[in-house]
Amino acid sequence: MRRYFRCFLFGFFLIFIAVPTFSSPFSGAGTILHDVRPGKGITRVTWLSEWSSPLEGTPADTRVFIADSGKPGATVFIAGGTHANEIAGILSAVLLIENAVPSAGRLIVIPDMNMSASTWTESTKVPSWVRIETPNGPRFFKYGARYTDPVHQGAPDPDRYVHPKGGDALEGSEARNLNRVYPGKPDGTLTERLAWALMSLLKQEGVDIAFDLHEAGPESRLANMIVANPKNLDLAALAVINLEMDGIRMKLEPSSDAFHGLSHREWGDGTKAYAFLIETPNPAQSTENGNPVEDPQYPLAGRIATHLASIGAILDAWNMDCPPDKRIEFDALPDWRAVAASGAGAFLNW
Amino acid sequence: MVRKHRFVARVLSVALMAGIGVLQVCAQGTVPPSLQGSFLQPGYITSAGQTSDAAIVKVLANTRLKLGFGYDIAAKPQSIAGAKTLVLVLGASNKGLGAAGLSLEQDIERVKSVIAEAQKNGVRIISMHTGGTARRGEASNQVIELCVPVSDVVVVVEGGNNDGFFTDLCEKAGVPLVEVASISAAGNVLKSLMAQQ
Repeated sequence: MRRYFRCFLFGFFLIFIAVPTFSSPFSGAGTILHDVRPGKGITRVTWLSEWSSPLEGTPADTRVFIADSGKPGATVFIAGGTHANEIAGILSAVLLIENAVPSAGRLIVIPDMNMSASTWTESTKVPSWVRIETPNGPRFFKYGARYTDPVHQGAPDPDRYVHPKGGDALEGSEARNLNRVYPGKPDGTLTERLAWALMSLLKQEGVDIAFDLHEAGPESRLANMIVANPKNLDLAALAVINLEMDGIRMKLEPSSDAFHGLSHREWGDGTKAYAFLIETPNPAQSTENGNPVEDPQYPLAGRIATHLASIGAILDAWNMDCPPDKRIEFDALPDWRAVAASGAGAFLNW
Repeated sequence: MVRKHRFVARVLSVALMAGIGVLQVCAQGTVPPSLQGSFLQPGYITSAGQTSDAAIVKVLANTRLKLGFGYDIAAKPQSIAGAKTLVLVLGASNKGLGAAGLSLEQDIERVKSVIAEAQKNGVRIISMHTGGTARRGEASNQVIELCVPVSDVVVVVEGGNNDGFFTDLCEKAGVPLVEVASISAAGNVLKSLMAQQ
């Protein structure tokens, strides 16, 4: 009897304590499973750690949605949520996952690029969740932070952060800013490992065009701007001209030579991808009382429309001049004018 | 009867005001006839202040309008050898200056030397400002004040002249000013300024 009891205790220890403690946690463990409902264009869903194993099981591992037409064409990458409080970028990426159906080429989307940043909110004045009404009821999206959660980072912030390639000494917390640490390191801090994993994806998948979707305070110089790696500045210039004809005024800047670690600079320099960063004005990023969704001057739907229109204009410019087997075409794409008019909810799946 | 006259008078005055409005819109973006087709190829584009708007004007001129202009955002005097028209795109950009490894003062010296070369060789100058209010400010004003008086025509996109800065400078220097509503309209002006080949 005593023997059976010992066996029972050993089995209990093995099943409920030892195995969960010492085995690898699931990908993305400890973070939020965001509400993303893929549309019929999505052919595969995986995790970013597939491209860089040091990210596996960390709070920064994140889902990757792939829409492959199965036909030759360009590979386009889109990231939302590099800064998890820049909600228009996240919703734009989600709208693409839920609606886009490529007919030539391939679309790879990561809607919540920094999952660790999604887990916390920097200010009590901004919402933790954003509610979007759809024809079938509300859906909720996490309004997170700009930086990786310090608890997840695995290292204390330095007094000052200097990118390994040099440049200005920034606030120490910038070590947790994903858009300051590219190309990252496979054995670095959590934020550096995340950056490294994305660089690995861009290289291994042969990404041709890459977008990083951001927001800035409305008074910021960056608001309503496309930042382009110098090698693809002309493509962005053509897009700016075409956007203006559609009533969308975007400014244009090339990546700085001296400011390292930013996506548009390092993605473009370190891979073959044409790299772009798009910024829209988020009122909640300039004043503590700003509303990130229903501001009358800068409503969320309008900002999402700007992101989608800018992506569309750049892809149109790409298609004008690329080889025939490098076009990116879509059977379905969320129409930015309809998003501006009807709101994002009309384009969210149920 | 009196009421009827009042009604007719009101209708006429509204029509007159609308007519004046239409005339003002028509006047906007109009190139003086004496300048139409008066600028010769080849043309060359550079910035004054390292604004990335120069890249937009280059794409507008070459990709959209097929004008085939030469381009260097940081052109030197020798760059414009053989050119008959110089397009200066106005606006100071700290990022652009940093990328070119130039201070604003150094870029102003560069632009002065390019202008001197153009004047020496009879190259006519078109100054363009397409960046709106974002490309105005103390640093941008310095390059604008340098370039406008030596220009044969100045083209400004809406917003850039909200404070009348270009209007004042052009009036003082006797330089024609063409204001347009958009960057693509600025392209149309540029095309109409160039002689047909």
